[in-house]
Amino acid sequence: MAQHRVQQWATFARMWWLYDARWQCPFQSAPVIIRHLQGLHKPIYHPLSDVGDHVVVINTEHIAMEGDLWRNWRHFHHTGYPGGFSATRVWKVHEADPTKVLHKQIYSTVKGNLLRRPIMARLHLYPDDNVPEDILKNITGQIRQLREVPKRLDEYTQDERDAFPRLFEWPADYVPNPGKKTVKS
Amino acid sequence: MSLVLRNVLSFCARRTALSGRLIAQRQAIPVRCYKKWVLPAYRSLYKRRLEQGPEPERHRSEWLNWNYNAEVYAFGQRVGEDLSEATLRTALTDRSYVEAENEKRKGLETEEEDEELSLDISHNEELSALGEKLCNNFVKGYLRSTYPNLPEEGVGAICDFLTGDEMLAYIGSHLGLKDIVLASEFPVPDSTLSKAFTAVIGAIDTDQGTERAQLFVHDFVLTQLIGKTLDSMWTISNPMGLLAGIVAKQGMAEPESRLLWETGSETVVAAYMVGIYCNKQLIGKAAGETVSIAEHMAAQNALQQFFNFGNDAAIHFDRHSLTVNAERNASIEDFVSQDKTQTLA
Repeated sequence: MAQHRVQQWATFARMWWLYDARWQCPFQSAPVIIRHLQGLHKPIYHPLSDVGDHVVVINTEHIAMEGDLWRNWRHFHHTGYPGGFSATRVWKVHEADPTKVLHKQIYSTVKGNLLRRPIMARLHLYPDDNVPEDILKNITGQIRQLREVPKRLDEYTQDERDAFPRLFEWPADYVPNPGKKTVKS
Repeated sequence: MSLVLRNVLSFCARRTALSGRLIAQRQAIPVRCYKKWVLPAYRSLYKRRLEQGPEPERHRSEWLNWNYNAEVYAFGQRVGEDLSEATLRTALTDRSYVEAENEKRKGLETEEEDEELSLDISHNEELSALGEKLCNNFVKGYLRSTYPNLPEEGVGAICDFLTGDEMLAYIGSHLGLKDIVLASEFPVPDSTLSKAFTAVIGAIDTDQGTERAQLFVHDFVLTQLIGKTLDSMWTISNPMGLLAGIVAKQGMAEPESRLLWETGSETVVAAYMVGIYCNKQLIGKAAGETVSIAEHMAAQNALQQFFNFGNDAAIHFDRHSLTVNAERNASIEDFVSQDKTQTLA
């Protein structure tokens, strides 16, 4: 029954996925990553069985937050002693540990049962694209980014910028109106 | 109401009242102390049980309510064949049982000198030989007609697997032969069980005709093929070499194995999927713990597909007439081109 043995081996093999978190929203990325960590994309999935895959997330220090969330979103902590509550702005947390925001987001999105720790153990977070060689060798799949990373203006060469089609040329002495300046109090 | 009945009724009423009182007392008086002897006693019992070892397997006839006649009748009904009792009893009697009984009787003294005490029952040697021959011929013929692309060596290997002592004893014991076979030793060895099973086939052949016997083999022996892969029954030492020879004979390009996917190659649970291509066509694929295992398995998978050995084609339950092919299938040498024959070793 060797054929059946290797079939079983392939069925329960854990895949290694790569996810590039550059300019991605952590709130929207977490469910996508968790789907792979829990094995929800597999036909053998069952909530009580540990059949998930590994996910290697790179560039976590380049995650993006919508609106004013870097300032307004807070991480809470309580030491357990009276008066032990503290709330930290997420930009401060991110400055201290660039993988913390995504880690906490994924941890809190996974259901709090006995499988949460093994699931989190299969998540590998790296602030930049410096991934250890032995981890990198395992990876054979990639999770598509939720948002396509746009190319910045300074990443285009001068020739490309000159070749961009335009309807008219601005007059040499034209000063564009900067508009009404809004100052937030 | 008669006096006796009245007495019985009053006795019952008293008993009920008494037991009710006892229960009430038991509930009323709590446990007074911690019984120190309980744990050591249980420990001692447990230790003694371990020292004693497991219970030896005992024959069902050692229990009081054993009825051999009923069991033999039930077996005949269970099998669903119209067998005469004499044939069935012969089929279930092993030669060792007859010999042992005769040996036992030799020691006994009789009143009359002339009287023969030896047991006058027949054993299943003849029926078994008949059944075995029928079983072998039918299984081989059926396999040949079902898998015309399978080499004769494979047919022989599958037939050996299906009609081996181990398999027949397995089938027989699940039909309940283990308890009703008359043999000198217990637990009944596989060889005796398999002999009894083939004797049952022989008994059906003599009482009901060859076709019923073949249907019996089809229903009970051939069904063991379901879910089995070719490599579990037929060990091919060098599947890649055989595949290369077969492909060369067909005038196709050399088979080429490629890695379809892999994962976790730096972990202890690495998995590889290897596919074998021939003329840019995928002819077989399999997974494995290492690349070499996966390639070996993929070659076996390709061979299985080439021989057209699919699990779904094994048994046709709706088949009314069983086709049997007495002509041998092509040998493995006929499948392989001449310059590749040395790769088979």
